[in-house]
Amino acid sequence: MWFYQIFRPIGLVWVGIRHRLARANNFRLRQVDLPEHGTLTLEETLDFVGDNCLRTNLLTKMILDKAVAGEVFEIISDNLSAVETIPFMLPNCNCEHLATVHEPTCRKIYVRKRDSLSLPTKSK
Amino acid sequence: MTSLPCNTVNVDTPPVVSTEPRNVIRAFIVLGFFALVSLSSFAVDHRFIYYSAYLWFGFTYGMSLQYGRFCMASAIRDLFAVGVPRMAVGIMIAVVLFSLVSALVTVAGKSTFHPSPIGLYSVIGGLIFGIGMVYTGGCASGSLYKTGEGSIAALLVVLSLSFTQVFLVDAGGWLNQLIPAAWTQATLAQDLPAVITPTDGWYDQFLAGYVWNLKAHTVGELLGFTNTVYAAFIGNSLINSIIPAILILAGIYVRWFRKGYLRDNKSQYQGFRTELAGYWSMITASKRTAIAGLVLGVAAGLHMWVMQGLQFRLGISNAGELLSGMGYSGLSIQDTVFDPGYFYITTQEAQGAAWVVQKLGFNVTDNIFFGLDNGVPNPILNPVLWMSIALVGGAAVMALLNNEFKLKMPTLEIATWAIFGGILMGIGARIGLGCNIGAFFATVTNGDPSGWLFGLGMTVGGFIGVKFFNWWIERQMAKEMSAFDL
Repeated sequence: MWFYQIFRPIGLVWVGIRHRLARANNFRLRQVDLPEHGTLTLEETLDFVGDNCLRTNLLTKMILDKAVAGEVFEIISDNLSAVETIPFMLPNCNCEHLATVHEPTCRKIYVRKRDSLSLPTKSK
Repeated sequence: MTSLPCNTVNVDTPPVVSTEPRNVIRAFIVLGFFALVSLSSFAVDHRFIYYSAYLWFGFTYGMSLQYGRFCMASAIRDLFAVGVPRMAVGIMIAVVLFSLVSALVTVAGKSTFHPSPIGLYSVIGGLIFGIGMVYTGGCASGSLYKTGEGSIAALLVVLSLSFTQVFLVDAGGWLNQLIPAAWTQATLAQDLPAVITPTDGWYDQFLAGYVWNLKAHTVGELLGFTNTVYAAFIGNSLINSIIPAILILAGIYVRWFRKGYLRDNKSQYQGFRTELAGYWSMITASKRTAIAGLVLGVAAGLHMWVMQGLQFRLGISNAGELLSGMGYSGLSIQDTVFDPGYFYITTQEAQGAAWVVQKLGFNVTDNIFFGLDNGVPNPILNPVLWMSIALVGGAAVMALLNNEFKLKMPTLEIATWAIFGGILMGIGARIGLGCNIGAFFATVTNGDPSGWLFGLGMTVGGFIGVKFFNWWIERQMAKEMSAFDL
């Protein structure tokens, strides 16, 4: 039992609940203004601050794989390795990288799920 | 609405953000500390220049590793978990460059490298190490540079794998029962000093009864090249390093990169030419990693050259001669200390941990690893440990200059994974006679095929680790989601 208690990924509870709440409650949706992309409505924010790179990458992939075309996500992480890996894994999730914002204590990555037939937007 | 007009960057482009003044000061303090150590030790005794050479190469490794986020755990994990080849590509670039510089160093007669015995132990050690490094989130070198970034979880990994090695190489008792009788007989036939108690301790019998009876050769030697140039450049570099690296990159391209590249360039497909362009695009996809691989490869080769040159200059073949000449203790019974003369990680950390355990009153020198081979010098006087500490410092400087230094305390869960994974890494490193650097990077690049065996085990271990972690997370997600629905 203690083993389960130690390994119980508390962060996952948060991610799972947040995922459902964001879908169920439109008032929780936020808007963000990104250069070259204009004002976008965030589907949800995935906060992985404090998590290691493997969990950050795997959870991001799981959520992005299940996302609907056009949805925009904000991924927050302070794991530099994960921050650099995420933009490279987006094509495999059929997502496009919109921007990475450097905050003093973390990075915010903005991604958008692509339509399955569309080609990626060329960066200017 | 949140507006983000500034410090927004595209993929793999460093932010155009100036370094905070306080971080510049901190970086200079760290740099000044190592400069002070170098100069003051030289003032005490000129022979400490040998230590300083390790220190500044360690510092360079730390800066390069941090700049490129260079981590073999990341290389294997990102491939199997999310299909990103960026880090694996960087490592293969470093392998190719290190092998070319190593060949040059070998031809010049300045190589300090000795091949490891070729055997199944490398695969098993690599396998355990690979599983462990996926759980911790960093390989041996990766954990060191992440410690320099301020990660306490990475520091826990370093401590865990260090102390695990100490207990592992000294463990006897019921573990002796697991050793085949043939190994015990072979150990007795080695006629080792009684103070080592060679038949009490599974690791002693593993080394003396099994590993020492295996053959160690470079590919240049195996192919029978008598000309040093051919042996170094064709056997060791081309056949053992460059061709396998090119083939591995080709495999990665086909499995993980080609589909996405062709999808984005389907209107311009020109057969083999497009495939080659895609291959090159994969190699240059992450400039940071490629640059880090380039610097690491060249620096690691030059490191051997410098250490061999200093050994010649100081008239020594091992740093133990320096220590005894300066009147210091902590040597093995052969009057040696661990002194590979090239990039290495785990053994010096085990020596540091052994020194602590010894100070607590335990005898850690009645074994081959510490007692006969490596010694247990005071960490302040351990030349190779200077390299590890400077590696942390170099990574800290680079992180500070990029405003990336952040003291991060782990959660209980992350800390548990770090310690557990570190234990596996420590076990794997001892069985495999090294870590991702000593048993893989430094070996494959010097023509030693045993490095590929360790690499194979590490890759399979990484795959198993990723699959387990994936299963663990999906299981937890499913459980929490269903609970929420209720």
